[in-house]
Amino acid sequence: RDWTPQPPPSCSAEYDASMGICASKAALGATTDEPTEPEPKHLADLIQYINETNMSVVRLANILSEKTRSNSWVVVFKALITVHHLMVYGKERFIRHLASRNSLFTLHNFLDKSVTEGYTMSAFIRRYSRYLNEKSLAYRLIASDITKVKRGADGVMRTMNTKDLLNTLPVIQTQLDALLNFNVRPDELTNGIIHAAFMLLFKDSLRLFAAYNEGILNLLDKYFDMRKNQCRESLDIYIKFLERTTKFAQFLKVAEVQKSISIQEFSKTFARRSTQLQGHVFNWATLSLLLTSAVVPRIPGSEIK
Amino acid sequence: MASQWQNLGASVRRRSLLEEELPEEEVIRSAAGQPETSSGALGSLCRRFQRRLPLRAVSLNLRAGPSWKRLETPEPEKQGLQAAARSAKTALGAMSQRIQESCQSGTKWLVETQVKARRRKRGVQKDSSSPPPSLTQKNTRVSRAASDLQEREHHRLCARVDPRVHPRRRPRREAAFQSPYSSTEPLCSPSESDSDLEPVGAGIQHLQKLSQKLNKAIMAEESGDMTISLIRH
Repeated sequence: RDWTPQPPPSCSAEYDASMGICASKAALGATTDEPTEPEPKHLADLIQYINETNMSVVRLANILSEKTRSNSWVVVFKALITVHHLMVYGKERFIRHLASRNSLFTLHNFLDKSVTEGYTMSAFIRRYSRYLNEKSLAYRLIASDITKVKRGADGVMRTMNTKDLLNTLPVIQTQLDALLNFNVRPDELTNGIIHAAFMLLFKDSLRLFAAYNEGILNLLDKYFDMRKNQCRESLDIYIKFLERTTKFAQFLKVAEVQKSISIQEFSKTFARRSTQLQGHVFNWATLSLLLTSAVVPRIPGSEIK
Repeated sequence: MASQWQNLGASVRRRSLLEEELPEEEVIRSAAGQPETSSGALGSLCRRFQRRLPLRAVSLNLRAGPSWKRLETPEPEKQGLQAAARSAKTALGAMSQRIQESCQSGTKWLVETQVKARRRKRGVQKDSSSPPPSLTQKNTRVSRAASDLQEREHHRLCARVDPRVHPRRRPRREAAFQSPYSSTEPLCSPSESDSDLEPVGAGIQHLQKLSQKLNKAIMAEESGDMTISLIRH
């Protein structure tokens, strides 16, 4: 399907009205109870609505939020996937609106007992909704979508100051935890709906971890210029980073099994690097201990924590 | 006459008390019959120090590494004051030894914890990376990296000294680098480091390479080389 946006009609009011109706229809079309992933044409119409117009996204968000209150796991899962798709491919104004809402998805108790696969899929719905909530919350806390920030030596995470870094990295850690907590095995990707969710999660995971990694590099670079309490905080962040590295390597192993993703080489390289990094934490822990002992005179007989 | 015997008795009693604390030579000297008043001031000074800093065998930290310099053998006539100064310094040395031991015990605890964690992980992991370097190579690299980092921080402090910024921290850091407790040699001696440690700098290189790989993966994914699609064909 060609997703190139069509040129707008001459009358902007009619265009806006038609777009609004079109977007509503697309939102309803993407969240039917048909047990297949949301259709690309509906998702493309929604992306066009968000990216090509300045029309309010409130009604669109309300329609999708209403769909997540359905009892059917199919409808709920498709609504979540549609929201995630718009977060990833749409402009930031959509996620900005979601972050401004008082509550997003309250699906922590969701359970569809009407069908056999409802039990399994309900567990993934609970985890997926939690991730989307964390993604919105992260946007609220750091005022940007960390998966879309500029990367590289002059990127956002590499040039951030110490204070912002120590505030931002824990937010990224929490979002990554929620993503990795989706915790799906290859044999559980049994239908197109959960597969679509996994693909969006995979896309997010690469960018999220890349930003996380760059933040850690910046943190290590600034380590020796930090105050003592900042050093302790940094060391704690770094140790947690290594734990997440291992979990991310396991997540990639699930991704590389998918026929639509060819990341075997990258996955192997990542697994090797994460193993090499495990031995690194002791050096930083010891070095930190030695440096803080040298810098701050200890009271004799006091324990060094 | 009686008063002289009384005085002598009193002095003998005092000497018997001192015999428990004074070294043998001084006991013999005082028993030779010198009148107490002539060495009274020095003796009372010695007794005061002895009560506060009891003389006993002290194991000095004479190993290689951060250590006190050996004192030269004092001349006999200055031995009293030198002994007092030596005992005071010994007590301070024992204090510094305790500080270093507590540093090392924390380091040893970290070593043991990490070694245990790593052994557990090795039991799970099947893939093995390239063969690790030898123990002496790694230990040398660890100590060199630690000393490099210490020197680097010292240079950074010298280069970036600003009296207006962190006025309390700067003098403390400079004092730490200048005090006899610090040393250019690593506090964690090579013999105590874990055999599987990699240099600190190598970890940063790993992260940088990881960053490059991630960026390549993202670019490939965006360009569609990974053939990611929302719908499986």
